[in-house]
Amino acid sequence: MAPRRPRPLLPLLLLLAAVLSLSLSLAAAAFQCIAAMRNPKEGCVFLNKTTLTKLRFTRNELTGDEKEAFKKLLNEDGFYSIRLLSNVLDPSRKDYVVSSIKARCIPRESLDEHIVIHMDGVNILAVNYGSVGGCQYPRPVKMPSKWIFNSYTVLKTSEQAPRTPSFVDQLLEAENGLGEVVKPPEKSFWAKYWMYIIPLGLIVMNAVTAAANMPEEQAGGQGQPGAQRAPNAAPRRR
Amino acid sequence: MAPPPRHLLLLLLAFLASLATLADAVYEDQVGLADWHQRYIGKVKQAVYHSQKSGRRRVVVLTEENVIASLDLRSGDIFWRHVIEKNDPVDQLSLSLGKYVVTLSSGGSILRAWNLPDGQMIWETNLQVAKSSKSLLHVLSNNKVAKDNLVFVSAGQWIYAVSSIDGVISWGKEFSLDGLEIKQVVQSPENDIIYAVGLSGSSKLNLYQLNAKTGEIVKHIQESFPSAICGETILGSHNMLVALDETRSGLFLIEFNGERISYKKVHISDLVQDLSGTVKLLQLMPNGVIALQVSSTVFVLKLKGIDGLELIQSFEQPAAVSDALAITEKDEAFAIVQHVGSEIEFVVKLTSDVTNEVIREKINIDQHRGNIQKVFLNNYIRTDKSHGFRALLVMEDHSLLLVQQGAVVWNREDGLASIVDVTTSELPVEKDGVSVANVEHNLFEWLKGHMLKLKGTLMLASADELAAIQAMRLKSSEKNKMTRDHNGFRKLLIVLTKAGKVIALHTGDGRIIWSNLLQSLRASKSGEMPSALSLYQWQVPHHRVMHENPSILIVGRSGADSAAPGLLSVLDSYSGDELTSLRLDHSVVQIIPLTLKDSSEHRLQLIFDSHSNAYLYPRSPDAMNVFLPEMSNTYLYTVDTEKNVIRGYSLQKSCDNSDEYCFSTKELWSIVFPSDTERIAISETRKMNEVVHAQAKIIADQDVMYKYLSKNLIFVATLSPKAAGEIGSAAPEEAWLVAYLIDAVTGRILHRVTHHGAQGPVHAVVSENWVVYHYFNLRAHRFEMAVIEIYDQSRADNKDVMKLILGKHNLSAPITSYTRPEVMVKSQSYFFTFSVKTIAVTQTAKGITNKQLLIGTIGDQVLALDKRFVDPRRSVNPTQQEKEEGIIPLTDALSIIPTSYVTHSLQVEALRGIVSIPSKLESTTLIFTYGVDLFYTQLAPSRTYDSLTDEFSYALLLITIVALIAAIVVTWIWSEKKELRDKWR
Repeated sequence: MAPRRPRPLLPLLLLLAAVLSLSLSLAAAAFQCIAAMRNPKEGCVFLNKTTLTKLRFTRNELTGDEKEAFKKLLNEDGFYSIRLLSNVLDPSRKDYVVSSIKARCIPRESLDEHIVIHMDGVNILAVNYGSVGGCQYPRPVKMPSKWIFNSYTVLKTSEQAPRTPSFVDQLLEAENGLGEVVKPPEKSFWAKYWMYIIPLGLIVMNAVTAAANMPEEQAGGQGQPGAQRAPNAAPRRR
Repeated sequence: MAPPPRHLLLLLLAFLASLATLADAVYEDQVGLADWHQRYIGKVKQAVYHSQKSGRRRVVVLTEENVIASLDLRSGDIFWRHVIEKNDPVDQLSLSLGKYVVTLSSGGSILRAWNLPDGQMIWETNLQVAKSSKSLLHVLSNNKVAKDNLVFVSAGQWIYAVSSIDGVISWGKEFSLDGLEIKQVVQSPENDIIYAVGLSGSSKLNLYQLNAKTGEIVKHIQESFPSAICGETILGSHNMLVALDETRSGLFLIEFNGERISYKKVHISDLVQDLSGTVKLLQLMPNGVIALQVSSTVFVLKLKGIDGLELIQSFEQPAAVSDALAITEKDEAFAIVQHVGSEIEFVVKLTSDVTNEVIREKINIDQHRGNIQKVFLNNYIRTDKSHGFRALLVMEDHSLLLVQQGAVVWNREDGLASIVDVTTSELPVEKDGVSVANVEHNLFEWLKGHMLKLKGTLMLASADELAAIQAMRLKSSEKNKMTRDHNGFRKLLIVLTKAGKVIALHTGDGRIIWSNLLQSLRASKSGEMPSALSLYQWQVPHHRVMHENPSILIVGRSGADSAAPGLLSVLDSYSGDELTSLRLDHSVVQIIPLTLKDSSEHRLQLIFDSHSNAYLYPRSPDAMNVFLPEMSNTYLYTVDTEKNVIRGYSLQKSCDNSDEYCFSTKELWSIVFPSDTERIAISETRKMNEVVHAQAKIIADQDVMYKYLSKNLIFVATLSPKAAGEIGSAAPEEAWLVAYLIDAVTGRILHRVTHHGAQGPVHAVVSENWVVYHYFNLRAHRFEMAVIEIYDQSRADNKDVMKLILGKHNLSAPITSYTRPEVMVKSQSYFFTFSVKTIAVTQTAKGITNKQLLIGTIGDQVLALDKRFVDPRRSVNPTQQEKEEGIIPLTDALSIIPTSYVTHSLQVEALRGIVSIPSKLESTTLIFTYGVDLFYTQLAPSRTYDSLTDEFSYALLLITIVALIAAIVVTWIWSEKKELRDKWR
């Protein structure tokens, strides 16, 4: 096996405190990202990638206005969007990753949300936002009984592809130890040659029966010519 | 004798059956029955005729598709042809010694010589030059000067002399002058001195005199000009240079000889009356006549030494002027071709006497060829020793014509070498009593043919008859009919070429049914060059409008820039007539064919512009009514490879402008790839018209896996910035590939996997629930093919029979993208021998037949690789059940069976695309492959299990039946007679 590259994002704690800040307009609510991490200079660097040790998101409580806005969104069957800074270390780059879901998918008892954050080093590639369970559509309006966000968060990094299997080594081994190749188990004589023996046996049996019939026929055949010859011979002598 | 044991028989049968599945190729005599191959060269940019002495009537051409070819002047057939790779563009072509073709490519750094009669490469020389500059090739014309005819190559500050016999560099020289760019290399007619004329700065002309044998500088003269020169220079005659000044309003006539440079400035306005637009010098060979283009007018001027210029003739574009052609020691001829009404006028003049015309011919040519773009003149000596002229004409649709004696001798439809997009159309239904094709045989012929075939099957036919049978099979009238057939093999392949020409080809033999050079996609007088983008089905008549012809939509852009306004055009598929043409007031970034149809069976299309607005076509209230209910379920996405972002959008009701067919968009999701670690290399989706038969896959242990079949699945592969370059440019540690599976509605990343040490180029194909992609593995030093199959876990509980009975399953629940899917992914990678140009997958009518990957290999062939080979479930020791299921034991490399090449012995040069079109017969798919060449064939990935092959001998079957019946009757009579006899005894 080739040495695997150390995973750039090992000790990553993700704390998600409650309640969102619906700071933007109708549909877009911003996550406040308090990227509490070590100083990048201190942090260990693998392949120019800074390792985050802690990443904390908070969700502010819904204000009254935001609650109204959310209700309006539910009635209009609109999309509820969240966004995150794509690079947590460098907030000056105003690149946001955005994700949306129909607002009607979120309310259950409380507001249940499921967030998957895809990361690569300090970069947030994408965020996938959705309801906790299934969300069949079309869907009636349902107001939550508690205006509290229940957030479930999953953090995902890239999987490593397995190495392509290579049988070259095995082939070489097999070639080196040619003599040690496991022989197939020895079959019995009957198992090996039955297909020849049976026809042979049949032929032999055939031949034997034929041979047994032959003397009878010959005996009969020889008797008759002799019997016929006698009357023929007799007139000649006459 | 005892019967052979049944085991043996079974074994034998099994063996035969296994052989049958392996042998999936055509026999030699089957070539050409269902396939055809056409060879093209592309738009000619340079043509050189063989000298008359050689006696061969051939011409060597260089084309924009980077092809060097030798054509027969009698028929236009290709004698030999070389397709040079795109990264080595050939700029110049010349003949040397009368037996070599010399080409200069890659900006003057590669010089090659090819043998004229057979096209074999004689030698190749690499030259070190500055890449950015324009390169020149000059072949010494008379071999009095140097024994081994030298070829001069100049680019920037470099000049090389290369022996044309063996390609050895006899000398190379870099001029030390800064910023020097050599513009012309001229050979002195008297002695072995060559002149190199170059510009340094913008107004300093340098004349170097070099010894042709040694390369030493004999003399260097510099002359400053009062005003700057724009860089366009042409050689007026052997010692005259004509240069355009910076303002493009004046010409410098520069005369040089051994001692000095003298010049004179001429104002163009003195020669030409109405001077408007930019002035261009047309590059012609030196002959004392020069041509100027001012906006759309061409002026032919005669050079009268340094004293001045004289206007000979002026004519409006479209017109073309040929190079001068030496016909006698002193005299040279040139041709002017221009359009006069529906005809073209071909005029040949001599440079010595420009007022007289040697030839004036009017030639009728097809209107669908557009304007004349280039003309190459050639002469021949008639039997009465006078000079005759012929010319090759390059037309706007990239076709090549040979005209001689006032007629077109042959033409080549070389626009087909640059196909942009392909679609298909059904042929009309055969109506009773109307024979659409006049290829029907009479009864006698038909009988004769069947008798011949019968003889062939009974092995009674002689060699001649066998040949006749073969010819008959190849020319089978059945496949060339202009009507729809029962199996759906006969179709029209409608192709769009780079020149903006739409051509319909018959799948039977590849002949052109109609062609139409679209007016809207032709270059306009103002100089904008529209570009053809893509083809879509516009109207496919079905139940409601059965009697209308189908039509197709052509989308183009009125300029090269992606923000340029779009162009739409609708053509009738049967006749090629343009039904409507539309100039859009918005740009075309993406075209989304919707699955919806309006009441007249028009397919709805959404066009996405550069301002993130979507426009609905056709613009009719009817279409709007169909679309509006579906609008909330319509999502779009864009892949921005420059910014490394993928964005998803939903549609909103109104645009800012008052256009009611315009919808604004709202960004729903975005995925931002960090530019310093990942760059988008490729994004692929499933074909919209793909049909999937089985929702689930039954695996060995009677278990069921549900395929994740979403039309919204996108496959995206990103590469680390270093891995995007050429193989070998990055170390394995700094190269990686990340493969993503993304849901296009919600932007969910369903799967993400990193391949370390992987490098591009990446090619991928998505079908059903799997992706196959191809890349280079730097660690293993081999190409790899990886497969990802994605399965839906949320439906996995459905296999419980009890739940099914009790109705607790969720099979009937609609699938929505809003629900988070639970997916399971299986993947595997395999080594693959080849570098790949493109990958496609076979498509069949119902999706039952096994899939095959169609791989366009680096050798320009198409390999059909069974999908079973790239199955992630292959294991080293498959169990008995898995073997029964058809799982192949795991190997590290994908084996290539030589008989599985779809293109058999042929090559589709410069292969660019493979299209698979389902036929009505489930087992068979139609494959169309295009590049510089075209290739079409029928393919049955699981063999033709649903029909008898064409080879099937019905006559033999009939004879057998008749013979059997006769035998039954005869034996019955016999037995009756015998019974009767026995009864009488």
